[in-house]
Amino acid sequence: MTRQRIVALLVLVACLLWILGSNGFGVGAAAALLPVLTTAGVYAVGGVGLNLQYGHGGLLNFGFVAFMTVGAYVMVLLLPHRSGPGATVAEGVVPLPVALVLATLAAAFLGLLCGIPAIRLRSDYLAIVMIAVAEILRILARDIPSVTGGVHGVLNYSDSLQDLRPEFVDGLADALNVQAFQLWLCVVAWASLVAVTLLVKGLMQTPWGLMLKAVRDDELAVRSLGKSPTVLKLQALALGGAIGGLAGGLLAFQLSQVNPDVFIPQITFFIFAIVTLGGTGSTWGPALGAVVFWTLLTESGALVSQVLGSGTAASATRYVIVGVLLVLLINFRPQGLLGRRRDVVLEF
Amino acid sequence: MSSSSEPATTVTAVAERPRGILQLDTLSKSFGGLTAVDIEHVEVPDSGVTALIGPNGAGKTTAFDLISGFVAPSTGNVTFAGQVVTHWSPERRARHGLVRTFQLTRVFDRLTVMENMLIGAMPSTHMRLTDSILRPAMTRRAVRQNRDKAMELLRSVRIDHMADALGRELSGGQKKLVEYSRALMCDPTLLLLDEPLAGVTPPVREEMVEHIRAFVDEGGVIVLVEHDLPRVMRVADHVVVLDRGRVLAQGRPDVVTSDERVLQAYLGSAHHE
Repeated sequence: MTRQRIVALLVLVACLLWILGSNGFGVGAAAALLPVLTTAGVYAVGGVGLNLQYGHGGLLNFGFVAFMTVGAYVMVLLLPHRSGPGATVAEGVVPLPVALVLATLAAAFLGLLCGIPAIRLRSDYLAIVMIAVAEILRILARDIPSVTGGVHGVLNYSDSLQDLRPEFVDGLADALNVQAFQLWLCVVAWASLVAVTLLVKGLMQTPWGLMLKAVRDDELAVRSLGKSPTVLKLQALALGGAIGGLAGGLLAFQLSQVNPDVFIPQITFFIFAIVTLGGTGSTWGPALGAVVFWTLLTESGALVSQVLGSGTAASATRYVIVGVLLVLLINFRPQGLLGRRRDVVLEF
Repeated sequence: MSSSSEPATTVTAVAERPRGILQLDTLSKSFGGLTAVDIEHVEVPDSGVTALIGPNGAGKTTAFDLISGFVAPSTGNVTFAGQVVTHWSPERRARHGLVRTFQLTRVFDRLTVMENMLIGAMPSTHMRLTDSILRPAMTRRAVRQNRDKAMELLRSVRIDHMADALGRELSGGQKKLVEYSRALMCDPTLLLLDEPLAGVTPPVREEMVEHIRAFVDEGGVIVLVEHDLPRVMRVADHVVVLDRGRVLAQGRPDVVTSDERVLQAYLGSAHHE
């Protein structure tokens, strides 16, 4: 085990102990840990998608939340749900697994749709196009209530997930003194996370992955060797987008209601922070980064409200703390917890 | 009837078959009001080393960009191995055997030397996402074969001990050697080398000259840009002199260097060095 991994493991343990400790290590401590882990798992899935696009492929995407928007809406609208001001009941169209697959496909399709005109642009222009796309989607979701329920959003779809909950989860939830539905969601989020992480890890070890890294390094050189970067970048955008769609679906279950206010640009930057913390271009970086990020955000919030009292000042201060930590990180350890310096730093 | 048609086909065949591997016809490139390259006709023979020489700003690198497809010409045509490739992308030209290197080396800094080499060798098909996922055995086999080939090439340029080093860890000379070997991984028929001898130490320069000669002896064709005349005379079989974008002279090195116009325009200063 390398020193870097030991440090990463220590950080992870410290995070978990922090949450458990601030809740008194008692019976309720596990119940306090679960929401943080679930949120971390969901965002980490998004992180894996962004890491594929940005960390491995060098595609700067400031509108990653667009994929999550599409994934979430497509999934919940295909499941039995209520939506709109009158909470109109709608029948389910397909079972959950199919809905989830269609949600990821829709998000992948969005990647292609945005990528075909934008991929030839320099990476900063792709970032601008994507941020616009994400905002357009969010505003569209607000302004076509007949489809998306408008500002009232979509709700009451969570049973589709909980109906699939196996027996043992209930038993385990009893033993841990946590709520079974939350434990099940956490299990699903982390299982998805492990699956997509291993998928991306495997892909990066193939010649395709090697080419993606080469394109990130020097597109002209790749072209001089007879390979076209365009298709490859589109694939990375679509594949990362599909994973983002999955994250959107999971986020929908975690929030138990989907409305346009969920998919604000801030989500994209949370995920960027997670990827950077964990280590851009690393395999398990998004998972670790998400745990650290959400621990910091939750627990620093608790600390700050002890000092400042609860209120907007306190909740804003925790973002300041996380922001300052990120700035320090970028300065002193740009490769994050698990990344390789060579992947993020240009000068030697 | 048959006797009369036969010579006719032969004649056509001869007429269609280009005498050189590469032809540039009325090829020009203007940037705004400035004409960087204006080549009436250049023909690169299908063997040996052709050197593109000329003083600074003569349009050598622009000519290279036009040949390799990185810059679109304002007018004219590029014909490679009998095909007009003027509107082909650089990657398509490279796939057909027209491969280039760069004046400022473009080694993948964050990949290892071996990974650099593999990018050069891998046929585009094996780089496909679907093949990487659905045909892992085939891609693994391809990688293994390419690895052997890469190792052999690295050994031949004596940097095999650096196979696991990152691109950015190499010295300038080593980068030149990696970029050169990486280009060879594409099995080029025509290799375009942009100042392969510039900025490297004298021992590496000697090695480079050897490699260039070896490649040509095995039937490869090289076009190189070089600034320094004595070096050119050592490696080139054919010389094209550019001056202010135009072809001043072309032919055997000894003939070209005795051309009065060339001496005036270009060699004047170098001659006295």
